[in-house]
Amino acid sequence: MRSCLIIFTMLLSHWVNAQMVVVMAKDSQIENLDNQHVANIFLTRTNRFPNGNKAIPIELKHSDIRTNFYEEISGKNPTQLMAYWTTLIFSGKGKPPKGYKNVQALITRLEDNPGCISYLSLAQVTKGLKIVYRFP
Amino acid sequence: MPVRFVAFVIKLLCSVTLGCACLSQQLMAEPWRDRLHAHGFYTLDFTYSDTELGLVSNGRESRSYEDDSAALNNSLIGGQIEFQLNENLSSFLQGKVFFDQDDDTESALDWAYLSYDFGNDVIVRGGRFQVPLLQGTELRSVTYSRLWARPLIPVDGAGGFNEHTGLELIKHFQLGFDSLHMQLVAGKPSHEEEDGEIDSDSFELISGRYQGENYWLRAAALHGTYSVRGGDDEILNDSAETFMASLESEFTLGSYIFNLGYAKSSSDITVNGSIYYFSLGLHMGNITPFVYGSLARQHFDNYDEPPPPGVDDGNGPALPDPAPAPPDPPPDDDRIRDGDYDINSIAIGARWHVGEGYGFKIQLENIEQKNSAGVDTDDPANDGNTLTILFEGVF
Repeated sequence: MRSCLIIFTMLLSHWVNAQMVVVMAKDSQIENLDNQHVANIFLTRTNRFPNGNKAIPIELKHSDIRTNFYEEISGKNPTQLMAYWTTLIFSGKGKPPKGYKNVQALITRLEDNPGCISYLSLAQVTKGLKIVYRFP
Repeated sequence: MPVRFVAFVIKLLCSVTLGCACLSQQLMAEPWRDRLHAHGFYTLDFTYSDTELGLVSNGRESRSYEDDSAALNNSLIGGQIEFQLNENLSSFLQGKVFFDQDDDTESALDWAYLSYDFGNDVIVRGGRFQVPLLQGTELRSVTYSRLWARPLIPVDGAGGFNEHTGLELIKHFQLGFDSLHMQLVAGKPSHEEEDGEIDSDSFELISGRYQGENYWLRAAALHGTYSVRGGDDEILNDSAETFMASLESEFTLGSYIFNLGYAKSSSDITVNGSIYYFSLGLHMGNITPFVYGSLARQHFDNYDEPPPPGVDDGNGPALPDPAPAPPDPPPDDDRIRDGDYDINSIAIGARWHVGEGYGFKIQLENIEQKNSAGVDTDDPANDGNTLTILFEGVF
């Protein structure tokens, strides 16, 4: 019984760490987004939320969750994603989300700016943030 | 490119950027580091040619290769800075340093503009731009942006011209997961005729790019007007017109990536042309082997100046010639003759992504040139091979 509990706790912990969520500041006017809006904002196909407010996507640099996130929303691996960004960046038509080196700086930026939007693992979500989209 | 004009644009944009940056620091809570975006690109290119060929460089120019020669002068490095001045206004500068035909280093300012975001995915920007006629004309210098090693687009004809100074209106339409990107452009092209016979006046362009889940389709149409001057600076035609259009697509089916493109230009006086190209690549992990083929034709029709007074033009008897005519000037070897310049090529190659944002390409290409117009070389026909190896990246 005890070993089953340990295994269940480990699985739950892994699921909480692995599950990606899209988050914004607690006081943001956005309550929910669908997967289309999430994809369009992070691929910079639009820079607006559905209510017309400006969207500022930000993310953590060089993280495993970043690879998984873009696989989920675009089906592109890091190489294909870089090719996608290159055509936008160097024709002035878009740029990738601003990257942060550590998660604390990213969370601080998210909490301070209601226009910022990012993705985290469920375990990283703080009280100053709210979840606007959960990946199935 | 006029150096004074570039210097003026840079000074103007720097002044506006600095002024607005100081002002916006008071208005925006966002730290300046978060509003500054810097990126760069580079290419180290080794090209070997076994025949005398005129090729299109990664810079902007046509480049001649001697028999059995190799060169690194297709290499270049470039960078861009974008600064968000406030929530709606941003400035953008992008330039490059490259080698010219004489192996001297040259610099070029490709993009320099201010952009204003009106919301609802409407953006207006003004300044200096690359003409968005073909993917290849906008991104010719950024080798990493394309699968193949060398740009396919000829310098003139259906490849359009490179830069313009003007205004652009951009509107995004969201259609579920798909999107439509419309671009309206009005400006004055920078047409760099060495002999100064062409003065570009203005042009208008409309471009649309539809992005689907695993494909994109892009179409563009351009109309421009220009004037033609004779050797003594006399205006020979002040209302010549040019029309250009392009249609391109890329789609991905599983591991296969397919590109297809067509462009055509029709002008009253200067170069007419057409381009067809295709490529097929197969993603195999980090290595993508590919094949491509292209057919490009430029047709040159030199302007025939009307005969001087007193010479029979077929409309009546000629007046008596009071003095013997001066001897004909010696033929100008550099002058392009009436005729065609066809470049047909087929290539195999592979791209190896070593890491995120950098990698190698190798490409073996057979090029057939039929050159009755005498562009770059007097040889009427050439059939040769090139081997290109390059290391490229973006950051």
